[in-house]
Amino acid sequence: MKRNLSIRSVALWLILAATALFLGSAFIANPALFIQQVINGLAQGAIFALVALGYTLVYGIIELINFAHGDVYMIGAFIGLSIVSLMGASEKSDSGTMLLTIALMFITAPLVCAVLNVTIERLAYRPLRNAPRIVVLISAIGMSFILEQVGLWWAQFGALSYFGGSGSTPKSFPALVPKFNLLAETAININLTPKHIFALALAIPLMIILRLFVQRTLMGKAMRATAQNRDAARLMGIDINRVISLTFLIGGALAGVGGVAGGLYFEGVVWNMGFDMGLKAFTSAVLGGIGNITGAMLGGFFIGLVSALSDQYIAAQWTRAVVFGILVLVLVFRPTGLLGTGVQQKA
Amino acid sequence: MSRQLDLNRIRGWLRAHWKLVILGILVVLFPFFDGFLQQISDYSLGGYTGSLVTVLMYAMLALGLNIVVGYAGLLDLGYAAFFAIGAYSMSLLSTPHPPWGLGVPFPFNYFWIAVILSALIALVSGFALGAPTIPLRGDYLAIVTLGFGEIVPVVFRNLTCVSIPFLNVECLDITAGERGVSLVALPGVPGIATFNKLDLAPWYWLALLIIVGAIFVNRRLEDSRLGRAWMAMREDEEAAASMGVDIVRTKLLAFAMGAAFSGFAGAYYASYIQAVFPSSFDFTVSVTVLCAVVLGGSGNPYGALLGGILVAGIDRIGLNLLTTGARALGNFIPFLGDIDFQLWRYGLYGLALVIVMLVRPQGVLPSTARARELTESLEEEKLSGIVAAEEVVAHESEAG
Repeated sequence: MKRNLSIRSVALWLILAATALFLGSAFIANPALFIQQVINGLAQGAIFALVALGYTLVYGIIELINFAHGDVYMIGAFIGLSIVSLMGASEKSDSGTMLLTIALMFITAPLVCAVLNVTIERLAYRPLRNAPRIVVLISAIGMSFILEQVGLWWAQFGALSYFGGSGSTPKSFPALVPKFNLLAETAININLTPKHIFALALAIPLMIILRLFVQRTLMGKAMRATAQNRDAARLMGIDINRVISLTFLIGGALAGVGGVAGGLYFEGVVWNMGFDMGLKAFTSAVLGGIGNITGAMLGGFFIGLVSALSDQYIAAQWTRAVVFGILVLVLVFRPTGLLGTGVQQKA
Repeated sequence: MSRQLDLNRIRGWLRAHWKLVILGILVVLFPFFDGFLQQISDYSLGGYTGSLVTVLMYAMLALGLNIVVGYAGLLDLGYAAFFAIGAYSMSLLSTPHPPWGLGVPFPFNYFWIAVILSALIALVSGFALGAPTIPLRGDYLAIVTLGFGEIVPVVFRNLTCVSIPFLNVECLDITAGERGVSLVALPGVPGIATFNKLDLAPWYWLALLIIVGAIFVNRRLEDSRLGRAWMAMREDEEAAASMGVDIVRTKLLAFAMGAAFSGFAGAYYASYIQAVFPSSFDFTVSVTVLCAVVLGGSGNPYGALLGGILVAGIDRIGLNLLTTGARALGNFIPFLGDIDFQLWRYGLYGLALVIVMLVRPQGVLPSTARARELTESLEEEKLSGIVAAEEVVAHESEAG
């Protein structure tokens, strides 16, 4: 066993050293390009992290891979685009309309998504609280399909039909956050736009607030207690159902924010965008150590960075394999994730 | 004397199972009814044999996954990976025009040999992909298999230009990427059946044969020493290990057996479709098969069969029938005139999954052992004192 472990750690260090060498040489060859990809990676990683938080919170409390979460993100993006079309805003609108639209999007989408997520838990997960976990997982997959159907209809008949095309064609999201280069006047050859800063400035404060909430408030304490041992928490007088609802509420709101931010950042929405985002966000949550809030944030940024660097230095069509390859490697070498402590694997 | 007894036995069996026998005959003769239905309905109904072959293929996959999920209790979210490996092995072994140029020589490109080789390749990859997951459990295992399920199609999609430095090979196209591999060997039994793309009935019968074989293997495995080891592992890994079950071997065998089933189904599918594309093996396939197993009743081969038929059948045939029916009614109710249930498939499918899980979490046809465990675990929890203690707390808070 001891010998086995040392072979594993040697392999791990070799992989890490090779990666470091590769990235180091890439940086020396073209520092500006490398930094550009780091900026892109961090900005999209911020959005992954927002969605990953929802996965990690829910998994921490009820140990469910909430497959419908990515689709709640999609609904958030659809709400955002619907508000854009209701306000008649576009890239060319005056700044007042733009600001009002952005504010409305970031108020409505989290609210609706939070309520939606709580409703999903009530309808599809709560009645199955004592059933085997795979049953709840299938129920979550079912919910995910239902939300995708809603997305299809929304895009075909709802407010989004304004953008033309059938229900399954992607709709472009007007870039309401400007995309001019802040460093255009300088000698540095890097494209840093308000859009990049916007994604980071939105995500990081939310994460800090969430962390403070979980660490400092009574409700946060109840959440942590429930995550640790549901039955013991129940005996201590904690209303488990309320805590679980609250968890889904927070997760849904973050997915709503993420949806609008993702729509603005990636400049497009489509009915099945939740699936891909879900996979990436979930990977982030697992990488950071599922159930761990800081871990989910770091995991999100990490996956964002890996995707951006792999797009640039390996090949865009291999990025998916690289992301999931890292996921497999991390789980094999360190099953608790990067930040996970010795939490017991639950069968 | 013994002859007399045998006849009596057969008669008794027939009397007990006559419904099953009639159903079996109807199922076997279906292609003839299908053609007849097509003729009398002027081709607005019927023509389901082809769809049924696909449905049966999902049932094959469900029977394979039943071993992994149902018997061994290992949650596999990347089952399509082995399906892809089987299909690609089959097509690359047997196509006369593989992407790299020269085809594989005779005995290996013959359908029956290629099928066995494909299943073996899937089996070996089951061992290879299963090995790193040995220390993992539960959801961690699920996530790693999901990772493999995502990686394998990407690999097949992108292996279009492989250079091997020491063999002086440059830019070798192995899988032809999005263009896919076409012209796969056809099965055939000299003198009995020939297979082609036009007559689908032989494909249907072959699929039925494979299903019968798969159920037989499932049943035999269930009663075997290995099957009992799987179930022991499913219930409690530590307890099984301390009773002398070799966990590593048992887990790997479950993975590899499941993979071989999937590879076999993949090889059959490749030959049936006559073309293999990387996009046919995405996560949806894994999810559909998993849903089939759980919906049908995890751990029961008949449940898995029923689940596969339900999940794929509703999608391929049920929605079509519904649309035809609704449109026929459309003469009386205007709203139904131009309805197309194909556009509702995600919603209906999702709704069906959620409702079945809420109403019947053990699946439609659960295995008796698993159903018992499910109710027992609920009773255990009631007895475990937590509920009782909670009642005391509630009572006290009411009183004071």
